[in-house]
Amino acid sequence: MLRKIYLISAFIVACLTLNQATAQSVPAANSDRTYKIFGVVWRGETEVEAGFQEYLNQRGVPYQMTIRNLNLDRGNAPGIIEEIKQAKPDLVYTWGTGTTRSILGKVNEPESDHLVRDIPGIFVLVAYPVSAEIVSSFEYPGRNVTGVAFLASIKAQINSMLAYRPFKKIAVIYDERSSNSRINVSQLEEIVPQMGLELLVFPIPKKEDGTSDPEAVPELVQKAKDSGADVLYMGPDSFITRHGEAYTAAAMKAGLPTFASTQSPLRNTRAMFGLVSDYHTLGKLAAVQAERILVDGEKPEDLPVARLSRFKLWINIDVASDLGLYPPMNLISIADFKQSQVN
Amino acid sequence: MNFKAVRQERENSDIKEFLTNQKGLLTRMVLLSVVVLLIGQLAVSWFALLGFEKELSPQLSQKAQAVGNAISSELAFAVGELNIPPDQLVGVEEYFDNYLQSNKDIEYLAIIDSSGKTLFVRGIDPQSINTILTELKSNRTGNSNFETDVQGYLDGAFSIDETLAGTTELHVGVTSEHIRNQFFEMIFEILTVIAISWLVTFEFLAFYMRRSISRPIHHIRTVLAEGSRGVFANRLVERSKDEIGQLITSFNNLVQDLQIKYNDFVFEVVELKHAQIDDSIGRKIARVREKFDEKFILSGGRDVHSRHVVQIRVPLFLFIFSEELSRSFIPLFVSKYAPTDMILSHDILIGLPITLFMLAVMIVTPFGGGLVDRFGVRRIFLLGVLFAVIGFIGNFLTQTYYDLILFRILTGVGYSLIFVASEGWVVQNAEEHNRTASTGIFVTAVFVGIVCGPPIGGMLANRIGFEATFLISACLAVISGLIVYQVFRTDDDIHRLRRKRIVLRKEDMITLLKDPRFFSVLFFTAIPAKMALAGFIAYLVPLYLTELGHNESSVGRLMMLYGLATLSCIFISARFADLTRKYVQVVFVGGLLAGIGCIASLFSHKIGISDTGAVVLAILALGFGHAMIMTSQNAMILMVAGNHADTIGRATAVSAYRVFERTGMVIGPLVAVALIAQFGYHDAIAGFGVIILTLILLFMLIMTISKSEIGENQSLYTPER
Repeated sequence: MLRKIYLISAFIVACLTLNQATAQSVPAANSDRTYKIFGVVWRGETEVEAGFQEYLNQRGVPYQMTIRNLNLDRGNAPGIIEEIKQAKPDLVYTWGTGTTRSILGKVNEPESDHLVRDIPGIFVLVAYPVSAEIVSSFEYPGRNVTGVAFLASIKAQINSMLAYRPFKKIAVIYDERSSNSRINVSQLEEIVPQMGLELLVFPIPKKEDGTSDPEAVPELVQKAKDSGADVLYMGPDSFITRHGEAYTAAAMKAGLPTFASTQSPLRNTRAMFGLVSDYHTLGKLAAVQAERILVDGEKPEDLPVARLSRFKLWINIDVASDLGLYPPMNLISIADFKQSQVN
Repeated sequence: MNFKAVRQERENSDIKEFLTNQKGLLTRMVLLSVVVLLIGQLAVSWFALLGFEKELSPQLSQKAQAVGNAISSELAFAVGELNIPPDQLVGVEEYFDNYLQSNKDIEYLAIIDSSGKTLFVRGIDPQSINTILTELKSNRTGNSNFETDVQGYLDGAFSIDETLAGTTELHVGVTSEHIRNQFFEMIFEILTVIAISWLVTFEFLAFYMRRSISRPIHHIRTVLAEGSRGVFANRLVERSKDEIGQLITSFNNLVQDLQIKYNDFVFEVVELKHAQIDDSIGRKIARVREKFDEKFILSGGRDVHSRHVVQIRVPLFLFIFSEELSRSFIPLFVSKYAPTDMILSHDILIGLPITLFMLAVMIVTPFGGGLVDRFGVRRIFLLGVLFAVIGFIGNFLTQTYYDLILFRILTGVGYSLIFVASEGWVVQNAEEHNRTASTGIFVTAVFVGIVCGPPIGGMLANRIGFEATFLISACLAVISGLIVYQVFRTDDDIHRLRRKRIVLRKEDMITLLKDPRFFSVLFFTAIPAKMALAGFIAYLVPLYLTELGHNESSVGRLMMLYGLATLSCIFISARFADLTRKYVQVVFVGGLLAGIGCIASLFSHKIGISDTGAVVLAILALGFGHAMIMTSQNAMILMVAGNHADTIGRATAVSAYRVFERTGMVIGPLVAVALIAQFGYHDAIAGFGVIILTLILLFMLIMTISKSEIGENQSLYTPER
C-alpha cells in the first residue's frame, strides 16, 4: 500500500516538474523492490547511521534497514550472523574494524559458516582497512566489500596541530597489541621527523595476563610531560579511547593538550582538539557507495574505498581555556568549537 | 594677351578674399559647435563627478567597512562566545597580516581595549600608528562609517566587546589618498575623453564643412567671378544632391541656357552678315562679333571639380588613430608572446616587432611614391588599408610570437602605403598659394591621430584587452578605407600628376653624405630624433610606466602628452623659424631641450620629482624639442639640398634624406634595449638625453664651422621641384 502511494506520488511529481532533480528519483521509482540493508554497530547507533539513512531517503531509494548492536563484545557476533543469513539482506553495513572483521571476515579468509561472505558489504569507521586485511587495497577491494575511510592523513593532522601552536615535541601513548595503533605509530615515526618535529613514543606496559595495563596510562602522561613533550597525540586506538577519561584527566593535570584523530575522545573525554571527519557526512558518503551497489548494480569489488576530502577541526574550548591555550585567531572562522561533555 | 594677366590677378585677389572669408565661416561654425559640445560635456561630467563623490566614495569605504565587520565579528565571537579575554587573544598579528595582504587599501588594523590601551596593532610603521591612535584616544567618538579623519587616515571603529568598564574596539584605517587617487583617475579619464571627442569633432566638422559647403561655394564664386569677366564656359561638377548640389545644378543650367542663347545669337549674326550686300556693313558686323567674343567666353570651357587637399584629412586621421591605439601597450602585448627560450634576450625580443615594423615602413616607402604615380592615390590608399586590416586582424588572433611579428610587418607595409598615398594627394592637390596650409593639414591629421590614439587605446586595452583593441583598430582602418572609396575617384588623380619619378642613385647618396651639412642635419638631428621616438616613446615609456604601476589607460594618457606637446608647438615654431630664418638655432634649441629634459631624470630624486614625473618631463621635452627640430629641419634640408640642385636635384636629395632618417626608427628600440640592459629603465632615459645632447652640440659645431648661407633667402615651404 505504502509502496503504491509512493509510486503514484513519484509519478505525479515527475509529470508536474520535468527537471533534473525529479528525473533522478525515477530509477528508484522504477525499481520493483525495497532493498534490505542489515547494519551491525559496535556500541550503539551513531550520527554515521543517521547520515547514511538521510542520504538514502533524500535520493528516494526504497530500503528497509535493520540495525543490530555488538555492544562492545565480539562474542555477540555469531547470533547476529545467523540472523543475517536468515534475513538474506541485499547489503550488510558494519561499523568499526572489530565489527567488520567479526561479521565479514578478512579478505582472503576461506569460506566459512561463521562469517557473512556472499552478501555485498560496506564498512564505516575502519581506520586501516588494508592493514586490517578487510580489503586488499583502497583502489581494488578484492572482494565484495567496500567502504569509506575516515582518518585524515597524518600530515594534515600534524599541520592542524601546528596551526594551533608551534609545538615541537609530540608524545604518543599507545596500546602495542592493537594493530591500528602499531600502524599509526609507524606512520608517525616516518612523517613527524620529516616535518622537523620530535616524536616521543610510549607503549603501555602489559599486565601479567598480557593485556595492556590501564593503570599505567596516567604515569606515562606524566612521563611524557617530564620528557619535554608539549602535546599528546591520541591515535585510532580503542584501548586508549576506552580509557580516555583517565588519560585526559592526567593530561589536564600535567598541563598538556591532547590531540585526537577520531571523534569519540573529543566527544567523550577532555581531549582539547582534533582533525576528524564529520560522522554525518561520513554516513552520507557510505550511502553513496550503497546506492551505487543497490540501485546502479555496481559490484563492491569495483568500487574503491571512498575518502572524505574535508575534515573538521574540532576544538573543545572549555579544555583550551582550562589549559590557558586559547585558539589562534586564524582558526576562529575555520574550527568547530564545542564544549567537552565531561565535567 | 594682357587681358589674361589681368584676369589672373583678379582671380588671385578674389581667392585671397575668399579664403579669409571662408576661414571666418568655418571657424565660427566649428567653434560654435565645439563650444556647445564642450559646455554640455563639462556639465555632464561635473554632475557625474558630484555623483561619484556622493555615491562612490562611501562605496569605496564600504569595502573597508565590510572587512571591518568581518574581522570584528570574528573577534567578538572569540571574546564573547569563546570567552577569550581580549588581551589574551592568540595569533592576532598573523591574522591581521592576512587581511592587510589581501586588502591593499586598508592601512592598519588595531585593537584598543576599554581603558584605551593598544592591545594589538598591525599595518604601517608603529610610530605613525601610535600617533594616530593617541589622537584617536583623545577623541573617542569613532564609528564604523570611516568619517573620522586622523592625519590623512579615515578611521573606522568596530565594537568587539562591551563590558561595564567600557568597549574594546577594532580600528580599521584606510587612506583618504586611496579614495582620492581613484577619484583623480576618473577625472583624468573623463578629461581625456572630452579632449579627444573635441579633437575628433573638430576633425570631422572641418572635413564636412570644407567638403560640402565651403569648397563648393568657393568654386561657385570662382566661376561667378569668371562670369563677371564675361566667361560663361565652365561647368561645375558636383555629385551631391543637397542644397549646394541643387544650387550648382541651377548654375549649370544658367550657363547652359546662356550658351544656347549665345549660339542662337551667333547664328543670327552670321546670317545677318551673310545677308548684307554692303561689304563694310558685313565687316562692321564681324567686328562687333569679334569684340563680343573678346568680352565674353561661352564655349570651350572645362569641368571644374570640387577637389581639395582637406579631403585626405579624415581618412588619414582615422588610420593614424587606428594604428596609434596600440601604441601604449605594444611592448606589453609583445612580451606576452615573446618566447623565453631564445638566445636573444627577452628585451630584444620585445623590441624586435617595433624595429621590424619601422624597417617595413622604411623599405616600402621609397617604392610607394612610384606606385602612387602609377595607380593613383585611391588605389594605393585602399591597398594600404587592406594590408593594415589584415595585420590588425592577425594581431587580434595572435597565437605565437612569430605570427605577431608577421602581422605587425603587414601593418607596417599598410602604414607606409597609406602615408605615401596621403603625401601624394597633398602634393598633387596643394596649390601654390596655400602650400603651407596643405602641409599643415597633413601634419595636423597625423598628430591629432598621435594624440588621440594612445589614451583611447589604453582605456580600451584596460577594459577589453590587447587583442580586442586590435579588432577596433581594424574597424577604424576599414572606415578610413570606406571614406576614401566613397570620396575619392580613381580617374581623378592619375592624369593630374605633376611629379617626376625620383631615382635614388648610389653616387648621388655618396655625394650628399660627403656634404658635412647634409650629414650633420641627418645624423645629428634627424636620426636621433627618430631614434628617441621609436626607442624612448614607443618602447621604453610603456614598459617603464607599467613597471611603475600604471595601468594601460594611464600609460596611454601620459604618452598622449608627446603628441600634445608636439602639436601645440609645431606651428608656432614653424612660423617663428620662417619669420626669423633662424633655422639652425631653432633646431639647436629643440635638441638642447630634448636632451636636457631626458638627462634631468638623473636628478629627479634630488629635485623632488617622482619617477613618473621624470618620465613625463622627458616626454614633454622630447615633444617640444621634436616639434622644433622637425619644422626647421625640413627647411634646412631643402636648403642644403638646394646646393645640389644642379647636380642631383632637390627632390632627390630630400627623398634620400627621408630614407636615411627612418633608420633612426629602426635602431631606436635596439638602442633602448642596450641602454636599459646597461643602466636600467630610469637611467636609460638619461642615456637617450646624453646621446641627443652630444649630437646636437656636434651639429652646432659643424654648422658654425661650415658657415652656411642657410636662411638667407629661402622660406620653409619653398616648393620642392
